[in-house]
Amino acid sequence: MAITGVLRPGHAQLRVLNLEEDVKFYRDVLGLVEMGRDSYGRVYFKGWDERDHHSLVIRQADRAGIDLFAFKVDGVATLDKLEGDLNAYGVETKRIPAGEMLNTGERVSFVIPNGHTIELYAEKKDVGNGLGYMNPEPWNAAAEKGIAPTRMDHALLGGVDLDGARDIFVNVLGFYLVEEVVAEDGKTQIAVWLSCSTKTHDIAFVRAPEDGKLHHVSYWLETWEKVLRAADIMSMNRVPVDIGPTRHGITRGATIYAFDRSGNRFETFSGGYIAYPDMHPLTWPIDHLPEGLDFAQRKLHETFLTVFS
Amino acid sequence: MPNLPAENTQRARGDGMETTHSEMTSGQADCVPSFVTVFIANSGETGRCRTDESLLEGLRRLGKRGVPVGCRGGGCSVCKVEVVSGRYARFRPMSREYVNDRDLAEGRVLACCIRPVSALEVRAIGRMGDRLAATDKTTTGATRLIAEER
Repeated sequence: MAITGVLRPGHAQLRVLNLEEDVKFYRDVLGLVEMGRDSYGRVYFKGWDERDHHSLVIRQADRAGIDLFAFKVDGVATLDKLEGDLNAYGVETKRIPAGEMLNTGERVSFVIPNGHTIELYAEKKDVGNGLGYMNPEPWNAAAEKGIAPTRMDHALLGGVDLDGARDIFVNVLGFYLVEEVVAEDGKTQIAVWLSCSTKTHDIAFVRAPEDGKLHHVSYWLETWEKVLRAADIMSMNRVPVDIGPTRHGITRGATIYAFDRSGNRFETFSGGYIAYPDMHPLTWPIDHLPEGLDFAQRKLHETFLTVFS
Repeated sequence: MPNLPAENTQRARGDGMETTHSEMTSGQADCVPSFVTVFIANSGETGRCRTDESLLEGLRRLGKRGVPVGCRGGGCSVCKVEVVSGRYARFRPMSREYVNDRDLAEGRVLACCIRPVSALEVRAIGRMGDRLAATDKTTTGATRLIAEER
């Protein structure tokens, strides 16, 4: 098995200002599959092609934003090892008992220097994608309901100490740098895209004036055509769009940034290239951020660096 | 959250009332829209905004940039305004991280979460407001923006 250790993003937990409106949004407009509610009132969702029980959890709150972002690791032994590695690196961790989140095993939770809570876990119930494990068909009706991303793909998180957050992911969790935006001094990173797989990013960080801020949670679509279909569905449903449809220069992904009903930004995207850990990172000097963000229009979108929840 | 018809929420400040989003979209959409004049003190812009959509959406569709456009869902605060005069209705929740009770009582609200009821004068007071007004839209501007944040 070539991909070991941290496998992939597993779930995000978001705060919403009106739970039922955002349940409708995530289920009917974004087209995630609603997977249940727990005794805390949290609502669980997954992309139609995901096999684990959930990848998005939302809860009612009086402020928007992200509670936590979690990664699945390749087994309980890895979970224990990574917790030890984090502690040795000076990162405090705590264990959240199995079952606190529906159908999910024990989680290791820790706060990184840019104010975000990150979790690792090894076990979540395999509920399947509905297509079975023998002679599966390629898709089903859920693949066409709403925007219908196949999966939750990554998140971009904002906070002051980007360097401290990056170091934990690179030095302890085994991520590698794929792309970066650097300031005029040629070295201070304004944003970084990190991978634990062959995706261009499994998590990204941007330097932001406040800690613990959500920039966006991203959902994967299979084609650019489906990104355009997503744009139609957003407009039909009066979803506030931030940027796109366009192509990012950074990661080459085709993208739309938009907002849920509580002002949490999300992305629907497709494409990009396959990254490997031995590849030289790609660098975007800050004065090329406009095309790094919006390659088609090559114009600055101020909201990229100023609008967070 | 009390679910009251719009007419009952016309007194703007400190009324503690909110109506729901569905109230806005059902029923009124088919009626002949009514308009009020909105003056943005910072930029000196004037717009004729509908009373059945958010103040921010009305300004945005007219291309008025005096109030910055962010998430449009009550979550980010860049469109925060102080209502200097006039009546409005709050129709959906705003993040308490950015709008507290005192803000609500004193007319500091998110433009994406209120509808104008009468002619309004507003002043943009969001984090982006003054900075954007002073920042040109070039790459240099972007760099300056980041430098200020760091």
